[in-house]
Amino acid sequence: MRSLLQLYLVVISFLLVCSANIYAQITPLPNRSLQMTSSVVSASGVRYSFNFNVPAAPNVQSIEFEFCDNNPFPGQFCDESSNYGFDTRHDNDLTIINQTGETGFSIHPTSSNENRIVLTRSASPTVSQPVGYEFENIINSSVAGTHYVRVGIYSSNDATGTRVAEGGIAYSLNERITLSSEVPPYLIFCTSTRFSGNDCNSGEGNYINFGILKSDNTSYSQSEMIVGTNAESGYTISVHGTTLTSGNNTIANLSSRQTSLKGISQYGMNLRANSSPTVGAEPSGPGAGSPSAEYSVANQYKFVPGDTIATHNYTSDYRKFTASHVVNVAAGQAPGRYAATITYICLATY
Amino acid sequence: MLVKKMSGKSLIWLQIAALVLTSISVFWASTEQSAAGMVTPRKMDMESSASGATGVTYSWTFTVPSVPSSTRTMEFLFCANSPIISMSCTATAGTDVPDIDIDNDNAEADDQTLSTSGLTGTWTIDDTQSTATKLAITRATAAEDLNGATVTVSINNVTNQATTNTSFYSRIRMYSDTGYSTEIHNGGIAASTAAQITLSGKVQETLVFCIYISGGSCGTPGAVSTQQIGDSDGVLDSSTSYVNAEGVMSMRTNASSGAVVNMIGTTLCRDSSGTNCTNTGAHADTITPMGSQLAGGGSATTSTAGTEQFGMCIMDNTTLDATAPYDDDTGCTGITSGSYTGSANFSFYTNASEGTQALYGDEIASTGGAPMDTQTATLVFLANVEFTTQPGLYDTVLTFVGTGTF
Repeated sequence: MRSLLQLYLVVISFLLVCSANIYAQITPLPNRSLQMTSSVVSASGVRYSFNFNVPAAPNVQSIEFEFCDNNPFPGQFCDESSNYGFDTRHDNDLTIINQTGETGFSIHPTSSNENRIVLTRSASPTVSQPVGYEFENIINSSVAGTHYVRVGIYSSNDATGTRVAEGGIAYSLNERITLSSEVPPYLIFCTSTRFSGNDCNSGEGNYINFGILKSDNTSYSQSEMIVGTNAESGYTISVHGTTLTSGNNTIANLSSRQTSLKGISQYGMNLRANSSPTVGAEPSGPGAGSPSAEYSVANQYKFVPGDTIATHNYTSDYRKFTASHVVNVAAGQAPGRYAATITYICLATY
Repeated sequence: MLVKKMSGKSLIWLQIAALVLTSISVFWASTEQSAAGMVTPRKMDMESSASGATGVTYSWTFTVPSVPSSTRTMEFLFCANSPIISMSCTATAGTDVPDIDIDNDNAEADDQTLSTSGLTGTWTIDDTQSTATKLAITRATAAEDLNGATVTVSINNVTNQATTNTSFYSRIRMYSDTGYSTEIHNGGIAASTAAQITLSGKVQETLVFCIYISGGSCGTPGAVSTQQIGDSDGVLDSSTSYVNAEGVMSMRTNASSGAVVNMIGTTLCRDSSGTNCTNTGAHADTITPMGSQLAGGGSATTSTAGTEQFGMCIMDNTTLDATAPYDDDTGCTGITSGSYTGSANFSFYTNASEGTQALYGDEIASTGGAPMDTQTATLVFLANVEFTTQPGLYDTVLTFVGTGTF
C-alpha cells in the first residue's frame, strides 16, 4: 500500500510540474536591439535607441521598456538595484526624440519611473513592421556588466494587463580605453661654417679667417645655420656679439642696411645670396622661415647686435640660412689682429 | 464490507487470480480468431500519436509464418473496439480511428502514397476495397510467396483520430486471391493516440561585452584608463612608430542575429576642451587619423614614421571578426606594444555622420550575424608624429558599445 501511495504522489507531482510549465505563449518581438551613445557606467546624457519588429495587432496603446539587473523576462521580478537613472515622474528629464514605424507615442507621466519607460498613445492598430524609439538624457546604470531591458507592447494605455507581444534585450556597460601620449617640444638649431644638407652633425667648423684686410678689397665669407622646431608660434633668430675689434680699435659695424663699399671701414651681414660680392645663398630646406627685412636685401648688409635676423611664426621643418659676412677697411684703419665672436640665439615660442 | 474484512495478503492473492483469468481470456480470444496463421511479430508505427494530427505516416511491419504463403491481396483495417479478427469492427474515421480518405471522395489512392519493403512485384492501393478506415492493397499480377518474409507496408497521409488518450486497433489480413476471400494469415495490433506533453524552458537573452587590458579579464579590467602610446614614457618622436596593443575586447552573446561592436571617440588630441578634437582632417591639436575620412567608409594605410598618423587595427578571429577598415587579417597579427616597423594597415575613420564621431560610433567588429560563445580580439593603436607635430599631451577616450540583435 505504501508503494501505491508513493506511486500516486509521484504521478500527482509530475502532473503539477507539467501544468506549471505549460503557459500561454506571448507573441515575440523579433529583431530587438538597443544602441547606446555611451556604454560607460553612470554616464549621463546618453541616448538609447531601441529597434524591434511589432506584429499586426488590433490595438496597441502602450509600450514598456523595463530595465532590470536579473533577467530579460517580462513579467518576472525586476531587480533594479543597480540604480538606473531616468526619472520622468519627478524631473521629467527623459525625452523621446525619435520614433519610427508605429508612432504617436509620448512618455506616460505616471507609469514611467526610475527604471521603467512607458510610452502611451491613443488606441490604434499596428501593422507588422520594424519600429524604432530613441530616448535622450538617460543616465547609465552605476554598475558595470550585463543588464537587461524587457520590452512589451500592450493594448492598455499604461502598460498594464496582458502583453500583446514581448521580448528581452541584453546590453553591457563596460570600461573605456584612454590612450595618451606626449609630443615634447623640439628646437633644432645649429651653426657652422658649412653643413652637409640639413644635418647638424655635419658641421665643418666655426672659425672664419678673412685673411689680410685691404682698403682696395672687400673681404667676405659665409656661415650657415639650421633651424627646425615644432613650436606652434614659430622661432626667432637673433644675432649678438661685437663688430671686429683689435684692442681699442674697431671696424665699424653697419648700423643700417648698406651696400659694401671698398675703402670704408665697415662690417655687416645678411642672409641672402649676393652678387656684390658674390657670397651667400638663399634660405633652403623643407622648413619655413625668412630673413628679417633688414637682413633680407641682397647686396645690402647690416650688423646691429641684438637684431632679429630670421623669423617664422609657426612650426617649421629644417630650414638652412646662410649668413654672408662682409668686411671693408679704410686705408687708415689701424693695424692689428681684428676678431669678433658672433653669437646666434634662436628662440622658439610654444 | 467484504473488502474491508479481507487481509492484505488475501487482497494480493485476489489480484493475482484476476490477472491469471485475464491472461486466459486473451489466450482464448486469440485461439478462436481463425484457422489462418498469425503474422508474428507485428507492429504498427505512427509518426505522431497526437490526436487529430494530419499527414501522419503509418507503417505496419510483420513477419509472415514460415509456410508457403501465396499472397495476392492484403487488408489493414482500423477498429475502435477490438483487434480480434473474428469480432465485428466498429469504426468512425477520424473520430475513434484514423482516417485515410482525406478528401472524403471514397478513393484512398489519391490521398496516400504506398511504400513497401519485403514485397516484390507491383503492389498498389485497391480503391475498390479500401475505405476511410481500411487500406486494401493488391498485387498487379500473380500472387507471390511470402514464406517467412518480413514485410513493411506504409502510407503517408493519415489523419489521426480526434480523441486523445484513446486506444484503437488495426487488423492485418492476408489473402491468396483477388477477392479478399481466401485468408491465409492475420494478426491484430493495438495502438493509441496520446496527449502531447508540452515542455518549455526559457533561455534568457545574453550579451556579455567588456574591455580590459591584456592579462586582465572582464572582472578585473586593469589600467584601461591610463594606456600610453610611445616610448617607455609615452613620448612620441618623428623617427619611430609606436603601437599600443594592450586593449582587449571580449564578447559572448546568444543574440539570434548576432552582435556588433561600435567605437565612439576622436583621434588623439591635445585640446583639453575638446573643441578642436572633432576636426576630421589635419589640425594643430590632433594627430591626423589614418585613411580616408570621406563618407562612404574609411580606408586603411600602412605606418610611415615621420608622418602624422593615428589608427587602429584589430587582431581578431573568424567569429569576432573585425570590420573594414580595421580588418587586416594578414598584417595585423602578432603585434606587441612598443616601437613598430611592421606593414599592417591601420585606420581611424572619424567621419561625423558614420564614423567614430557619429552619434552611435563606427562599427569595428561583428559576430557575423550569429550567436557566439566567448571570443576576444585585441585592439592595436598606432601613432606617428611629424617633426613639426606641435608639442603637448595628446589623448583620446574611446568608448566601445556592444549591441546584440535578439
